Amino acid sequence: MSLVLVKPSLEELRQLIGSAQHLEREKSDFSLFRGGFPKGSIIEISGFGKTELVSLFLKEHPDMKVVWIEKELTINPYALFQKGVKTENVLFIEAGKQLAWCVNQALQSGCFQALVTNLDVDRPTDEKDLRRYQLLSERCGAHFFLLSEDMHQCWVPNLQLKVSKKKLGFNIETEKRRMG
Amino acid sequence: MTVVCLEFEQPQNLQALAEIFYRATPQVMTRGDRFLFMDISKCLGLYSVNTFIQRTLVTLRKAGVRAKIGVGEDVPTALSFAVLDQRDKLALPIDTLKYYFDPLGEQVELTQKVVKMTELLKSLGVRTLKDFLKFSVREISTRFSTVGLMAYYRVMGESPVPWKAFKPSEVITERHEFDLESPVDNLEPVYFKMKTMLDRMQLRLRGKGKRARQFDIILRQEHALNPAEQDYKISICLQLPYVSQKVILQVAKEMVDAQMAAKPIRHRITEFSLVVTEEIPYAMNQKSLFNQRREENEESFFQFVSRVATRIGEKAVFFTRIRESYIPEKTWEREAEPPKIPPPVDRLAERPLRLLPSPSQVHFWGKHLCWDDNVDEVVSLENREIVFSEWWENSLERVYYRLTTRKGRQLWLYRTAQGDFLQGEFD
Repeated sequence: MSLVLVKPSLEELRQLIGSAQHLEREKSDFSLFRGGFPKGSIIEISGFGKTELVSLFLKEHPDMKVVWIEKELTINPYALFQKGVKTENVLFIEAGKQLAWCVNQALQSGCFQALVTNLDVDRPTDEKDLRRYQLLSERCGAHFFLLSEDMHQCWVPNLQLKVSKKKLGFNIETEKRRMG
Repeated sequence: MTVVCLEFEQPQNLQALAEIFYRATPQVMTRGDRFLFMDISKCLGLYSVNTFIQRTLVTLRKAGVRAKIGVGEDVPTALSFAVLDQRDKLALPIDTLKYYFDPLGEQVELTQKVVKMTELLKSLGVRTLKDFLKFSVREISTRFSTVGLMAYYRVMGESPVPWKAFKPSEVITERHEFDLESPVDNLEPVYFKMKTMLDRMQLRLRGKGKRARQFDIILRQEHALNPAEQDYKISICLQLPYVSQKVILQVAKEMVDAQMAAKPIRHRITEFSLVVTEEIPYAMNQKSLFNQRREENEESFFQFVSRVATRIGEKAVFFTRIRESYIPEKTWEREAEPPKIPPPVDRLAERPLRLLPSPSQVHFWGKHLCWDDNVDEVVSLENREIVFSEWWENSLERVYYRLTTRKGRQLWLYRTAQGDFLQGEFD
């Protein structure tokens, strides 16, 4: 009789020791993405239609206090209004060279439930910076929406989504989902 | 009439102190640089004399000054009570006649006559005002002429002192001079003094029903060769000015530190001042007793906005007010505070979520589209929309269309007589 080795997965082991539920973050529901977006984490979205996806999420959460930070603002508040976003709750910051400082301060203030930024589009973001933003957003429980042209190849973002527009609706692919 | 007199231990800038108390009553008057009078008789429906005195003590503590308080039925009595710390008018010594004759200290020569008269009365055994009032009007007028008569009537309460109109300063300035023998070479003494000065500044503004939106910190340097370099100026912007003094101090310190790091001060500091450059109306809120958390959140939000606005400029931090216009760049405006009026009804065709800061010219090359460093193939053109400017503006006509590229991008372009321009993207 041969001995069969059962090798449980990491997830199964976590469930066995009862730690799995602690890793699950609180989520904000979103009709276009099953399971919703986790709070206190970096959600990186790329592809054509990424801004619209975020605006539709904000539409579903009208009471959320939002800060929208860009180096040079290209977001059109009127289009956000057309999408149904409550623009009275959105603070816009055109940060210029102080972008990283503004993002830090916004997260540290703890006043916002969501932060939307494309970080510095001209310069690759340092992994250390992303890690710091991730810790800060975790502390204040805010959604950190990072709109990127190309996905960051680092481990920090909790959720990476690739979006493309269809005739009706979106095609959303989950590139990465990190627990914890 | 109920008059309160404050007698300060040290000579003070009474204009500034009068502005602080302007909030309690508009009837404010000064004597020299140590006495301040306030007529509160018309305001007793709002507060009692005791409440007023308690508040005055708190305000004086905040302003960092000490004073003795006298409350009387007229200006000279309040002045005498403050100086002598008494409460009985008739028991006041005869020396106080000079206060009754000239309570505002404006008639020095004639007051000398009153002093002589007082000496004479003392030699006759008249010690108090009660004794003085035992004389008849005729006796006073024949012996002491009009000067004595005026003092007599004032003691009788029959010749009230006319109140002068008080005018608050147009520009609020708080100044502090350091000891010229030992000017400061670091910022610690400045920060130490700044707290009291900010408190005073806020109290003065509040007296006028205002709050500071923007103020300058000016550090005067000792040996600046160029007069233009003598004053080192730092502007502080409080985008949402509903913040506590603690936060204002923190924002100011941060800004001073940042500016000093970028451009260090070259000489020692002999003087520094705060100058309010922009004021806005102050709306008082009832303190929420049941939702302290909300107040804390609002406070931290205002703090965040003020800090960011001070650092990167007030125009860079904003809310938006949605406007009705066909021209895409005019459909919203920057607002310092969340707009209170509801947005208009949306009657426009779908607008792109991304708008370029300025339209970029594009060129078509067969089926290909070139702009800046980008080349893409056009797949479809749709949604033509013609936009005209308002009739009172310069004539403008743009034909907008939505263009889908091979890479999947949806661009928003317009065509004019000058060519095709990319203005936005449906991202």
